[in-house]
Amino acid sequence: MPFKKPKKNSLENEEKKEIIKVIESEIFTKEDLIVFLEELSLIQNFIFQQNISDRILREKLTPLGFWLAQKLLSYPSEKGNNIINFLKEYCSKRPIAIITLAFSPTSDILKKISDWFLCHTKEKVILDIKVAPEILGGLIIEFKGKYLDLSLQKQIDKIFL
Amino acid sequence: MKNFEFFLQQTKEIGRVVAFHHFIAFVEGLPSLKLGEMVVTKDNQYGLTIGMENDRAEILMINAPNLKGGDEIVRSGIPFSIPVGEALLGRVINPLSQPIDGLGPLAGDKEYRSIWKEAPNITKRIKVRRFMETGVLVVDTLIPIGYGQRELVIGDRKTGKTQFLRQVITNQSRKGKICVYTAIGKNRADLKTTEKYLKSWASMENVIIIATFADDPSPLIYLAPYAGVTIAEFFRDLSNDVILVLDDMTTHAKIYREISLLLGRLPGRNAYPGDIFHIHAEIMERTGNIRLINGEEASITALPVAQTLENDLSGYIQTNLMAMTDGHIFFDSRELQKGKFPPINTFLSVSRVGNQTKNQLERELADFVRKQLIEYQQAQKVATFGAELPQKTQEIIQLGEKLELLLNQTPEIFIPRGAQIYLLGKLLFGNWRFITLLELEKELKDFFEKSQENEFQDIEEKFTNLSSLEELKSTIIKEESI
Repeated sequence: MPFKKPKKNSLENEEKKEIIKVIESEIFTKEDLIVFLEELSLIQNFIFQQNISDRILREKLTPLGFWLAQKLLSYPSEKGNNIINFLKEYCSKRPIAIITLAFSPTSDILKKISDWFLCHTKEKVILDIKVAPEILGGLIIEFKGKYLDLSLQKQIDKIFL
Repeated sequence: MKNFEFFLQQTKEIGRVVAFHHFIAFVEGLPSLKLGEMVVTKDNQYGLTIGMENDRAEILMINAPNLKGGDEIVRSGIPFSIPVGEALLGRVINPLSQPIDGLGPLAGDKEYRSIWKEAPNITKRIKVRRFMETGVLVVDTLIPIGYGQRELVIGDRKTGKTQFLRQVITNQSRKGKICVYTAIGKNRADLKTTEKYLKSWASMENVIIIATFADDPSPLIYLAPYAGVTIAEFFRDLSNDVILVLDDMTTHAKIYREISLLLGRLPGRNAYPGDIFHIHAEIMERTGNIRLINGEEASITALPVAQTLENDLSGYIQTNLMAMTDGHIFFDSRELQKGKFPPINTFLSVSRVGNQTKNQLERELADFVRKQLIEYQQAQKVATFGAELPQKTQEIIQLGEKLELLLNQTPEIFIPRGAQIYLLGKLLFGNWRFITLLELEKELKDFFEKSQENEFQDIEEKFTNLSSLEELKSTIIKEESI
């Protein structure tokens, strides 16, 4: 029988996948990502301190950060640190799409746009939202160097210019 | 030229500047960008793609000193191009074909030509077979240049290289040839002198001056020879013979070195980048004598300039340029110190293909001159000992002195080919054997004054088409009897 190598850290990988799934459902924009990365650094500091109370965690962190901190602080320091480093690398590698809208979008709209990208590009894309009322409606997408102008202003210009 | 919005709508790609320093922008995005492609900023400033790394492109911004991180850039989809047309004739422009002479915008039709073009292939090339008259006796006799040749003009600073080139441009423009003078990183005062000279002496309607100054941005100076050869190609394709002067290529090499080091490319010999030879060779190879599609012969004669230090011909860039040209004319500062003008060292100068443009008579005259110069040089060495010289040596020295006097030519004098043959013939057949140096000087002065009154036509008609020494002798005898 061929010798099967035991999978290293398979439990850790499963935990990472679970954390990523939660992150992807909560983080949509570049601002969310920046806040999350700052919280990761904070949690990394907490890992090497002892007896951090929940009250302090709730004060300093967002609900997502609090949930993550509780999870990671329950692990041994080294494992927690590895997971944080992994999450930092994962987040910094996320592609960013610059979306220009005529209004400030609600979280529902952000989720819809994020899901659209997930469906079409098969990867989690972070949205950098710019508000430009002069486009009147629709949106302009810049993603990986590609530029797509689906704004109302362009349609009107086509008719009248 | 179309603008940022137009290219954005057309290409549907956008890039953003991540870093910018010393006219070099590092841009992310633009997935379909190609090397050599033109890019445009939101302010409609142009850039040239000069390199690509994994995730970013290196753009040489021609003139955008205020670019900052996050600024948007679009690709144009076309190689970097400049407008060319007959409207450029008589104008002083920069490498982007923008006039800088204060005479208003360029009027007339223009087409856009890419500055990157492949050199004509071997099937289009023809032998260099037509003689190009510079009007300078020593060059036309001993270092002849043909249309389509590439002849390097090399020497220390302030040895008269640019003055010689002005004479060539003046002589050729008067014959209806198109002349493109490209000043690469020059002093403003020097270029003004050149402009003034050409406006006084040359037919400016056949001359284009492409000017870049030492205080111009490095990318603009880098583009200058490319712009020069692109404009020359335009006129060549209209069946013209074009004279292209690149003054000077050592400055261009230094600018390219500066750009390459800023791009982080590995330095090679003398800190020059490894492709410095290629950069110059690709320009030189675009010149030459070719047969056009319509069957006509047309040429670009390249006269690149190289500066030396202390007459050192073995420098890196200098030897590179010597390798990619068909000969060189060496302006020796030691000859200048002896009072010679032009101070050309004929023994260290060579024209590899110029001789095939000459007829038998011209070759024999050149051999005579060369022989006399060698004998004169050797006789002078003997004369320095101060001992009494034999009769033959004294004759050689006297003839040599007269020959040197003849070969001395000030910048305002242009000697057409027929007159050159006439003068050399007189020297060869001993017409001046019994006159003193002072008398000869006066005779030559009177003779050259006539050139300014345009009285050479007679001599041109009689002497240009001679083919043997016997014919020359009899024609001189006839001329003297008149």
